[in-house]
Amino acid sequence: MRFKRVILAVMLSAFAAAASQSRAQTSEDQVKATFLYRFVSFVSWPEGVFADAQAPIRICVLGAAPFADVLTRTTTGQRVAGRAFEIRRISELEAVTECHAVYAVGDRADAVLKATHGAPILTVTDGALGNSVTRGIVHFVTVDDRVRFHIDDARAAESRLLIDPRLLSLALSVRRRTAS
Amino acid sequence: MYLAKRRGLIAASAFICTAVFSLSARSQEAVSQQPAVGLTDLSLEQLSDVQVTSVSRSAQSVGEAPAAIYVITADDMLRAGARSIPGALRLAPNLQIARLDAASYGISARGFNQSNGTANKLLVLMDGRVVYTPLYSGVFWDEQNALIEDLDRIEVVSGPGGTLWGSNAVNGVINIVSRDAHETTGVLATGGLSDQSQALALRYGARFGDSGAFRVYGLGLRRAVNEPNEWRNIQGGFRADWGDAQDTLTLQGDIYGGESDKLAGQNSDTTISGANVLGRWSRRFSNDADVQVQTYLDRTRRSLSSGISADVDAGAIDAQFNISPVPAHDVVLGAGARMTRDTFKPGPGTSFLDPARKTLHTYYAFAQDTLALTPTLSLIAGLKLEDNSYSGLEYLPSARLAWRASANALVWGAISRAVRTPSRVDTELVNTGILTGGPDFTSEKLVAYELGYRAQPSARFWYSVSTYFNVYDDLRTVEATGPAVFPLEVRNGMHGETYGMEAWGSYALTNWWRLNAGVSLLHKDLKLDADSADITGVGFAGNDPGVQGRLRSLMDVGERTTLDLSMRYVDELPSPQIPSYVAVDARLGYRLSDQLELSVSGYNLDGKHLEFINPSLPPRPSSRSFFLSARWRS
Repeated sequence: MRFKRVILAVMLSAFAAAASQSRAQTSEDQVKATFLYRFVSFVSWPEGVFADAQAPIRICVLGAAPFADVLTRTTTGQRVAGRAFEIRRISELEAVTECHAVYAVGDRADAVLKATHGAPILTVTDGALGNSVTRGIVHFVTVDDRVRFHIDDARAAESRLLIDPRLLSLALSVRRRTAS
Repeated sequence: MYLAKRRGLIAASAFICTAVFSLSARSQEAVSQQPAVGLTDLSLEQLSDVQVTSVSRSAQSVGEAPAAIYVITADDMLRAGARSIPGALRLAPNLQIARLDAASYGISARGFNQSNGTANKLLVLMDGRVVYTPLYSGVFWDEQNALIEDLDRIEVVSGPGGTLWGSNAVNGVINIVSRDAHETTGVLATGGLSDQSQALALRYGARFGDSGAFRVYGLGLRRAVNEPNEWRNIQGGFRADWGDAQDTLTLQGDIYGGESDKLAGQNSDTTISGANVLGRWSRRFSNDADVQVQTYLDRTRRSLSSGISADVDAGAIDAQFNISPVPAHDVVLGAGARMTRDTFKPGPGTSFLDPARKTLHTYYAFAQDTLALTPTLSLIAGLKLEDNSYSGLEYLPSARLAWRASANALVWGAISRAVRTPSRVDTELVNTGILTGGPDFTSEKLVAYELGYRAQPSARFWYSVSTYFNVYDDLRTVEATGPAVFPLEVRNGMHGETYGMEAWGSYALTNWWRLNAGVSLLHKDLKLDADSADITGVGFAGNDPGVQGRLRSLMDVGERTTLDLSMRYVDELPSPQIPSYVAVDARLGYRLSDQLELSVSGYNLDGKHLEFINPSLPPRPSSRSFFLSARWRS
């Protein structure tokens, strides 16, 4: 009985501490959204992908509704090289070809990689959701409570995307493109 | 330090922007409106170093896998204070886990758990290596160890997975996956102790060459339970990964040795040792087709002080092709072989295997097609053909339908057939005058009908409900051979149905507090065949709770502290009878610095409870224990 009271006291004090502090750490989704926003400056799409110099960068999110909201807030009002962002939640694979980048999680990631193969689309997958088999050009993982990423530069080459070496140097691993 | 300062700023901004302690309507906003204030100003290097919380993450996506799959994430395992693989598996709501002693567990899905730790309807893989033993189709859990920090995830599928995974994936599949070596560079040291156990582990990882990475690790542990029953184990291993434009290569291996003491006169001491090495190569072709080839060797040695010993050497090779030959079709083709050679030495006067040595094979080929019928409806149909040494050719077909009812909801259904093929113990265990083995024993068969629903109605809430109706035939019985009863023979004299439901979900009350809950219900209706002369009864087929539930609370108490509580309820077990119990575990973690975390875990805070009784041993209840632990990483 005495023991149960101790447990209860510990729980209550922890709860009180949580209540008084409530200093939320940064959520994984926030960091990933910020990464995604920053990646755009390090990726060159082939000519003709954007209608004009002002056309927005369209990032699509498939199968991860909460992430789409975080990404929308992160990119609202932001511009990269004069381009604004357009975040689109999609549920149909066909819509994927209209995107410049796509964040796809779960088993849909596989289908997205197939549907976008060779197209100039930056594919982003996520190992934190239990799928580290399917890997897009960028693949997020969470290691030691930090968000890191792998880069598949060979796949980027097939998609005619150029990734800045500075970004490559930050990746946990890089699947190199074949020398051309 | 500058970075630390920046993190302080981020945390401060997050603090300002986060609703404080309101669990009602306002907390909805707290979760959905955390702005990434300040983050966008950070360099990529700084972003890579921002410490994140996972408590607000919606851990499971609404995937399209039309199966009852639960993924235990790396973070889940660490937060729960899991120190062994069975300990980590307790996080899966679709498994039944009962501890027998310091090193042995009974683990099963959808029933048929065995009080002597010999549950045999589950397929368990570690990085693609099949770890069930050909001796009795079950898993020696004391042989399965890993550095928990280096695991990526554990996928737990309840329900049959024979078409892709093969025989023995009858009631479920557990897939334990370790991290890519690129993700485990640097030094990790972790250690801890309690009055009942000590553990120490070290890992070092680094990159090499242009695209390679490796890690080596070693771990040692000593664990006791309430009774003077103790288990000691040491293990070491490595993993290396390479990748270039086309090929990726993984090479990994482990070596271990362990021993457990039991009370003199009650059971003998057990010594185990083993080693394995595995290679996996995959190549991606430019036309979006890929191939993966995997091979491994696995050696296990187990001996009891009473003189019984069992040595098993296994070798396997497996190849798998993924192709999309025409639009709307995704095809997986595969083939492989697994060979085992075992040597069994009986003790004086005990049962023996006849022959004492045997080489067994399994050859298989399979094909599966995922066909997009409409943009929201897919059909997954597949067939595996498998030939084994005992029952010959087996066919394992399945058909699954997945309907994406909306962007956030999936309805799925499946019909599949699975078998458990005969093992050595089923067919060749002899005890002169008492047991003559099972010369006519054939595979146990299952046809399973499943229906499930998964949804994520909001950013804070997701859940999954799966139901099943399983029809079993040719289940194992031990039968009298004549009016004199003895000798007994192992036959397939039982059939019947089981049905049940598994439901789990997760709800974020705030962005620092998440609740997970799960429940599983099981009803078994097994019968002996009319001509069966079984002497053990249907109760012998499994000792399972009708109801099992769990509740888990994950809290980030401020920036440095995590508090996790979990409670699990297990209904009464029928035979041998074990009272229902509620077990409470807790873990408090405190991050002293970026490198060092201290934690205290309390297990079985409810006090003593019994999870299982091995009829041939005295009961060994689980008791309260506290574990103090430190983890340092460079």
